Amino acid sequence: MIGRCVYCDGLLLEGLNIFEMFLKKDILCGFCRKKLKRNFKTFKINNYKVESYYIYNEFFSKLLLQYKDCYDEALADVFLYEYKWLFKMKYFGYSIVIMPSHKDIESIRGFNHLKLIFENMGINVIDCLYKKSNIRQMNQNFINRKDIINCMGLKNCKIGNKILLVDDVCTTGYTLKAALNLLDNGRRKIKIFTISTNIKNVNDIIDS
Amino acid sequence: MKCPRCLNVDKKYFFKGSKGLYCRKCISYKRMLIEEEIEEVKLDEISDNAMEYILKYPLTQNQKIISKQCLKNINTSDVLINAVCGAGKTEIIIETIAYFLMQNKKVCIAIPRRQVVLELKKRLEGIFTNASVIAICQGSTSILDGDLIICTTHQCYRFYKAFDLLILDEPDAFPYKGNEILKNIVRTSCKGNIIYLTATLDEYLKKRILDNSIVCLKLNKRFHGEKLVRPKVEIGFTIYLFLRLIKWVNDLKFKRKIIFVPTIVVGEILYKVLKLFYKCKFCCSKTINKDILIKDFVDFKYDLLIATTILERGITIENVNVCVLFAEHVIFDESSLIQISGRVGRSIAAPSGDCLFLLKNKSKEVNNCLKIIDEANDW
Repeated sequence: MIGRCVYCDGLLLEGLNIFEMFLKKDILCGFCRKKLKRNFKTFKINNYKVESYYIYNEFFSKLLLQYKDCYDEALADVFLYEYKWLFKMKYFGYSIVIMPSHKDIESIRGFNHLKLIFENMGINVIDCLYKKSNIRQMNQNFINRKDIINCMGLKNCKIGNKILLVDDVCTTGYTLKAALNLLDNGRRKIKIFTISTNIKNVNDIIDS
Repeated sequence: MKCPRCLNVDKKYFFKGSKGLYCRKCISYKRMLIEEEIEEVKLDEISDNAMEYILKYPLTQNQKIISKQCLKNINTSDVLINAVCGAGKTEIIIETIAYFLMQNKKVCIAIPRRQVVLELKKRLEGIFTNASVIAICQGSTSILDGDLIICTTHQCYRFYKAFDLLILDEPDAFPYKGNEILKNIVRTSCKGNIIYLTATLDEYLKKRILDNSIVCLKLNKRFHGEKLVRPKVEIGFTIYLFLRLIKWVNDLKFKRKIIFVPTIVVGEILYKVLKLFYKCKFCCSKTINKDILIKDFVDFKYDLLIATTILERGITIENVNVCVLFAEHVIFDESSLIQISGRVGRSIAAPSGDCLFLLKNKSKEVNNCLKIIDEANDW
C-alpha cells in the first residue's frame, strides 16, 4: 500500500520524479518536502560555528507550529528524516544539549519537542538546562529577547567535553548565547546545530 | 472510537502520543485527546437590556412573515432561510436573536469570511445598541465573550457546546464549503438549533430539504421590492474583452466600480495596466491593509477596485457596479456568480446598477446563474 504524507495527507509519491519514486524514502510527500528549503550557509555565534539544516520559511513555521503548539507528535520525525545518518556521523562523540522549554509547557504538551526528535532518531540527549520563568522567545520583541540570559539555569549533571547545542529555530541567537554563557568554560569543544535559521537576521547575529 | 470535536471515526487519523490517542484530522485546532472529556464552555450571563434593538427601516411584509416563521420553528428544528442577495437576511433574524437574548441564551453568528465578520459587527452594533457585540476572527481574539458573538467558522473550536442558537451565514462560501472538519466543529459548538442563511443552496442543504430535516423559508424579493439585476453577458477574445472592459469603465465615470478577476496574477496584470489611466486599487487575500482599502472605496476616495473572489459576498457597498472578467473560469461557480451580481443595487437609494460578465467561451455556470436570477425575478 502506498503511504500518505504525515502533513498534507496526500499520496507520498506526489511531486516526485521517476527516480525519486524508486530511490527516495520519506514520510513527507514530494510537494511538502520541496517547500522546505535547505540552508547551506553557516555562521558564527560567539566564535562557535552554527550549522542549520533549513531556512525558516512560511512552510517550516507552519510545520513547527503544528508540532510544537498543536502538540502533533506524529511530525517529530519529519524535520531531520533525510539527515539522520549524516547527522549521526558528523556529530559522533558529541553530547547533545537541547535548549530548554519551561516545565509547565512541557507538562501540558506531554513531551519535549527537541528531545522527541532526537530520541526517535536513536540519539540520547542531555537535558541539563532549565528555564526559570515561563517566557517564550517567539512572543518577545527583539530587544526583550536578550533577557533570556537571566532566566536560564544549569542543572547539576555530568556533561562531557564535546557538546553540541541544539535548538529548533535561530532568530536572534540570544537563547544560544545564554546557553553558551552557562556551558562555555574554555576547555569544552562546542558546536551548534539548529534545525532552521531565520536568514534575514543572520547578519545581525554576526555583527553583535 | 470517535473524536469528540470533529466527530471523525476513521482510524487512520488517530495517533498514539505521549498523552494517549489523539485525532490528527482536526490537529490544526490543537490536539484533541480521544479519552478527554471536553468541558462545555461556560460563557457569562447576558446583560439586562441587551435584547433591545432599533431597526433603521421597518421590515417589509415579506420579511415580517419569514421572521415570524423562523421564530416559530427554531425551537423545534434547524431553519434554512433561502433569500436572494440583498433581501435583508440580517434584518430577518434580528427578532429571533432578540428573543434568545431575552431568555438569557447565547447566540453566535458564524461566517466563513473574516471581512464579513467585521462588517456585520458594525451593522449589529448599530441595531443592538445596548448589547456588547464581539467579533472574533484572525487579529481580534483578545475578548472571547460578550452578549452577542460574531466569529469566523474557524473560531468556533473555542466554544464547545457553548451556544443555544447558531446562525450560519453563507454556508456555501470558502473555506466552509465542503470542509467536513469545519462543519462538525461548528455543529459541536452549538447545543441548540442552527439557522442557515444563504442565497445559493449547496448539496448538503438540498439533501436536508428533501429529507425534511430542515425547515426551508424562501424569500425571492429584495427588501426594496426591485428585481435582481440581470447580468449582461459578452463573449469574445481576450483583446476584445479588455477593450470592452475599458469601455465599461469609461461609461461609468464617477460611479463606484468593482472588477472581479479569477486569479491574483490576472488581477496584478490588470492593476498594472489600469493604474496608468485610472485611480484604482487591487484587493486580494495577500493584500495587507484590506480594511483600509475597502473603507477608502466606500468613502469614495477612489472609484475603481479590482478584486479577487475575496469580496464576492457579505459586503454591502451602496451604488456599486460590477464586472466579472473571465467569468468562465472554474473559480466562478454558480453560487459565486450569483453572489457577485448580488452586490449590485443593495440600497433603497440605488436599487439597480450595472453588472457585466465577460467570457472567453460559453459557460454552464454562467447560464445556471442567469437561470436562477430569472426564476427569482419571475416569482
